[in-house]
Formats: sequence, structure tokens, C-alpha cells
Amino acid sequence: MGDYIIEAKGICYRYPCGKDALMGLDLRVERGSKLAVLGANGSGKTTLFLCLNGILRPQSGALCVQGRPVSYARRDLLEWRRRVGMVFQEPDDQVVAGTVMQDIAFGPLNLGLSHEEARMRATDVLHSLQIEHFRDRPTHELSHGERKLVAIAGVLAMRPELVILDEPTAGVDPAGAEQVLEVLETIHRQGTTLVISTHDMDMAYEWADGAAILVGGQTWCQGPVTDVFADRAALRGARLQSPWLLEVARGLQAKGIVTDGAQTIRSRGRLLEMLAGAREA
Amino acid sequence: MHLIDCYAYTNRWQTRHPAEKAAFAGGLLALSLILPLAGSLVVLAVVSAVTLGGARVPPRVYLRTLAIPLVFIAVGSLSLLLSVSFGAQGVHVGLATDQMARATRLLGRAVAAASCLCFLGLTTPALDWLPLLRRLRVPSVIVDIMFVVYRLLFVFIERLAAMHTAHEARLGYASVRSTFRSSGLIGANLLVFALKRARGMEMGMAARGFGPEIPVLPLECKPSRAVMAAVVLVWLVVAVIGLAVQRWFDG
Amino acid sequence: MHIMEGFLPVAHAAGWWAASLPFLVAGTKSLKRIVMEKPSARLLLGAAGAFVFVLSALKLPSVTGSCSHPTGTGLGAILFGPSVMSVLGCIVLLFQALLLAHGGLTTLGANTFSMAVVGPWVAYGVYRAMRGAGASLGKAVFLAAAAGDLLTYVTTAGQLAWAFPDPQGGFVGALAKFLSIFALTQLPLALAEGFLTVLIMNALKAHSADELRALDILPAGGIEQ
Repeated sequence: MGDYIIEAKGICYRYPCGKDALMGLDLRVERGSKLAVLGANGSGKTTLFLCLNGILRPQSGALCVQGRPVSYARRDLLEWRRRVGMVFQEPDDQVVAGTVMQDIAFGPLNLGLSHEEARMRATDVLHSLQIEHFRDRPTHELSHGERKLVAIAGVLAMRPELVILDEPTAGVDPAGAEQVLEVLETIHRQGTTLVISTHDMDMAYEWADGAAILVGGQTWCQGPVTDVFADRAALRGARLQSPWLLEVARGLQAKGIVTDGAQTIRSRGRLLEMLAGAREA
Repeated sequence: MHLIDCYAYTNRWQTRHPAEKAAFAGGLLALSLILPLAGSLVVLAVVSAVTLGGARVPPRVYLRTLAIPLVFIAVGSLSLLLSVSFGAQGVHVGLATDQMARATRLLGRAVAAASCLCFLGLTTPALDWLPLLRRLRVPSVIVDIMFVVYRLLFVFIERLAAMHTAHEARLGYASVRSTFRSSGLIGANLLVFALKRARGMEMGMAARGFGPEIPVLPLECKPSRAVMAAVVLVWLVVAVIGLAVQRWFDG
Repeated sequence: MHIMEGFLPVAHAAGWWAASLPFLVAGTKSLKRIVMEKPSARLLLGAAGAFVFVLSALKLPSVTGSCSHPTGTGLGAILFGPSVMSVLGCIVLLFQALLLAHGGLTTLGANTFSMAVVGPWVAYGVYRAMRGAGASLGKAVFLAAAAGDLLTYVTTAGQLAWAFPDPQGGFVGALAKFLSIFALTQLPLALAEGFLTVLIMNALKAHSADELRALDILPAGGIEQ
């Protein structure tokens, strides 16, 4: 039995308007892992995340954080949200204050920290994300990508153990996306568990340890990334595409250039290495 | 829609404590209402000098901002030169040249006061007033709402501009009728967008543990005693000079 | 119509502040109650305030071919309720003074009285009366918004006339003077804003009735009353 930081069993959620978004969904997030949650639009990813953060309360099913069933009492919710941070897809939903410093301090202040401590935490986070120059800038002057970074910073200032990000690279230019991924790498190295949802199959394949595919409000499959992505039929059924890296690696494997198995090539760099090596041989 | 707040973030005195700026401009604003014409002109001169020389607001920006209330002030002051009365013979409209002094005093006073307002708007980010309002015991529900209004203003202005451009690209303002129609659609869409934003922010804030009140970080600096003393000195000097000059004119 | 900074003499400026205060206090009590029931209503109210502010950026065709801008007070009163609008209106006016140099801090009291108290209450009153009498939504909204604007303009003219009575004609003469001077812009504005408000309400009712339910937490808020 792994150490699961968060575990969902058979959760069902129906929106007030009648839409069934989650229909018996299971998910396990192992501590220290990087999980990519994949699925077509409408498969329930965002609803799932809102349930994992306690914003939506499933009508049925079990949800455990650190092995203990969740409680929706005010004090417990606060502790839950301190442990499990959520970064929304739309940064304007999350960047609520007029200046960056004010916004990043929002979470810590809500947790009851003093003004000085909140300021210190905000300064720390700005430093570790290398965005100190944002400190006193008005939030409305930031670009979409910059606002995403501030949204992430705001959650990190609460020192969560698990950070859930809903489409962290959506709508961001390549340089911005790279910056976001670097930030995720930094916090993962510090021990934070990460869960992201994304449409970018290539990014998910390179980045994640584990993957879960959602279809129609249920988990179709969950497991190590190589296993999940290996099943072409499953991907197609879930209206997802196979990552190009995997396809190219498979092609090279067929040609005999790749001998260790297509799934050993998990990055562009590794592929290029392999090709360079093959050319010399 | 251009919010002058943007200059507040780039001027030299952005980080000075707002209480200092409020005392300076507020005191002079009060003086401009109380002092005679010469006093108002002294206020105008001092505030302009401080805004341009001290806070280093670009002259073009300052003048453009001051020009905004000027139309109303000019029209209003000139109207004092008009006299309308109802008598036995009906309506009598005439020029009241004896009201010149009154009109010029009003003009001077209003422009001086407007310069104080422009100083505040151009040197202090609007958000900086919130901790001050909290200190002044303004009900927290009002300060909270102001916090949210400020943040959303920019989001909505951006959205309105985008919708406006989209309409313009499809000739939405080509005729009176289409202008009304476009504005109506934009207005409705903007409200729906506003409600959506509110709901989104609600979730975003909940995810970060939002409780009963919106916490606002107090400002890091404290008002400098020396500066406050200098401000009081400025008030006194302006009052004395203003009264003296007026005496000299009248005498 | 905003009275610009410093235009009113001290006594009048202070007097209008005093006149607005009871409405602001009552409005704040109302807001406190709403927010106590639902803390997240702050966000809805903030969104409402920002909406009213930004509404004044909309273009309305005007008499001389130029553009004028709506005040949003009539629409605000119908959608959010007049008591709430008193405080929201004051907040909007404060931000308009600081961010647009429209209006003023000394004149905030006078402007609040005319634009955040008289305007919304008149608009709301006309709206309810007409709906009560069975008038259609369009007619009620048009007359409510136009009446709100008109009464605001009359109030502002009154405030100016009281502060600057005519040396011959007294208050009445000055009132006639100010009413005439500003009629050129204010009368067409009242009509135009009336039309605009109808268009907005129709669009809302046709497509967004569900979303508007969010406004039900405001007493006297929402369209269907």
C-alpha cells in the first residue's frame, strides 16, 4: 500500500442544474509523485479538482486526505486547503488583490498568520520563483503568463503538501509555459506532490510519473505514465492523442534503432541522444 | 477609459506613506475652499510645483488630468456671469458683470481644489487608501467591497474594450441604431461576465481559505514625523502668503 | 452629472455630506446583513460596483454627434436594489474622483446625494410603481432609468442653485439658469440611457435569466419583482 496523500473512492457529483459531472470516480495520489490527469473537455477534470480541494462536496463517495476522511467543518476545511493547494485555470479567479505582494499574502493571512509572517512568506515565495521584481507591481499590469505565476505563488505561500493545477500551461506562450514547468520542478524537488490536468499530451508524457484518464466522470485507467500511454486504444477511446515522442520512439524501435523499448525515451533530449548515437554506430 | 492610477505606480513618491500625501493635499484642499482668491492661486502653484517637481509626474499627464474637470468648472464659473430672474414682465436674462469677482473666485478655488485631487490620484495607488480607511473605522464590509471593485475594474475595462473592438470590427457603431444595439449587448454581456467573475473569484478565494473578512496588508512604512511637520508648515505658509497677497491686492 | 472638486463652498459641501450620511448608514446596515448571511456576497457586490463604474465607458450617441456616457444608476437600482446602490454608488463616485478626476472628494457628499440616493430611489420607485400598475418591462425600465437621470440632473441643478443664488432672481432664477445650461447634455442623456437600459434588460431577460438568479441574495435585487 503506497502512501497516498489524497484518495478518492467512488465519488459522485451532480451540479445544481442537474448535470452529472462525476459518476463514481476513483483516484489515488501517491506522496511525492507527479500525476497528470487527462481527459477530453467535459470528462470531469475540473469538477474532480474542485472536489479534491473541498470547494464542491460530492453527493456520495469517500474522500480521504492523509488517510483520514475529510471534514467540511470550517476549521478542518482551512487545514485541508492549507495542505492541498489549488491553482485554477483562470488566473483572474485567483489573483484577487490589486498588487502582487497583497495577493500572495492573502492565503497566509487567511490562515491566521501575522502581517509580518505573511509578508515574509510572500517574499520567500517570490524569491524561490525568481519573480522578486513582481513584488510591488499592480496585478492588472501583468500578462496572462505572469498572472499564472502569481497565482501559483499565492498558493505556494500557504506551504501546501500537494498542489493541484488545472491546465497550468493553457493560454501561455512557450516561454511562459517553460517558466511554469521550471517552477513545478523546483517545488517538486522540495518534496511537494503535484497533480495537473492538461490537454497537452506531449507535456504530460515528458513531465509526469503517473497518469489517470477520465472519461464521462469516471477514471478509465490510472497507473505509471508509460503503462497508461502505451494503450493506444484507450487513448483513442478517451478522445486523446498519443504523444508524438512515443510515436516516434515506436517507429524507431520498429526500425531497430531503439533497442531498449520505446517507453525509455521520455524526453526530446533523450531522443536526440539516441539518434546521434545511432548515426555514429 | 483611462484610469490615472497607472501614473501612481511609476511616480517618485509612490512608496511614501499615503497619510503624508493625504495630509498635504487634504489640508491644501481645505485651504483652497476657505482662503480668498489669492490663497487659492497660491495653493494651485504649490500643488503644481510639488506634483511636477517633487513627485515628478510628467507635465503633459498633469495638465491632461487637470483639464478633465476644467470644462465643468469653466462653464459653471461663467454661468455666474449670467443672471436669470422672473419678474412681472416675465423672464429676464442678462449679463451680471458685477459678479465678475465672484466668478473668478469660484474659478480659482475650483481649479486649486481640482489640482489637489489630481495630486492624490496621480501619486497614490488607489489601493493604498484601504488600510487608511480601515484605520479610520470605515465599516469593513465597505473596505472589502472597495478591494474587490478595484481589482475588477481593470478586468472589466479590458473586457469592455475587447467587446467594443469586436463590435467595431463588425460595424457595430456605424449608425445611431447600431450604436445603441451594440452598447446594449455589451452592457448585458458585461453584467453576465461580472457575475461569472464574482463566482470564479469566490471559488479562488475559498481555495485560499477566505474567511469572514478580506485581509489587507497594512503598509510597511510609517508616516514620517519630519514630513508631517513640513506639511503643516506648508499649510501655514500658504495660508499666510495667500492672505497677505489678497490684502495687498485689495489694499 | 458630477459636480467637480472644490466647486461647492465649504458649508454646502459639508451639508450635502451630512444629508447623504443617513442613506449611507442605512445602506451599510443592509450590506452588513447581506454579507453576514453570505460572506461571498462581497464579491458579487464588488462586481456590481465595478460593473456600474465601467458602464459609464459605454458609448451613447448624443445630440451634437458626439458621445455621451450613461451613469448606470437606474440599471443599478433595478438590478441591485436602491439601498445597496446608495453605498455602491458612493464607492463608484469615490473611485471616479480618484481614478478619473470626475467629481471630487469635497463634493462626494453632494454627488452621492444626487447620483447615488435620488437617482436610484426615483428609478426604483418608478419601476415598482409601473410594474405594480401592470406596465410592460420595457416601458417600466425606460421610464425608471430616464426619470432617475432626470431627477439626478434636477437635484444637481438645485444644489448649484442653492450654493450660487442669482443676485436678482434668487434661488429660482439660478435654478432656471443651471437647468437650462445643462439641459443640452442631460435631457438627451436621460432619454438615451432610458433606451440603453431597456436594451440591456431585454438582452439579460432573453439570454441570462439563470445567471441573474445570483442577484437574488440582494434584497430588492433581480429583474422579476
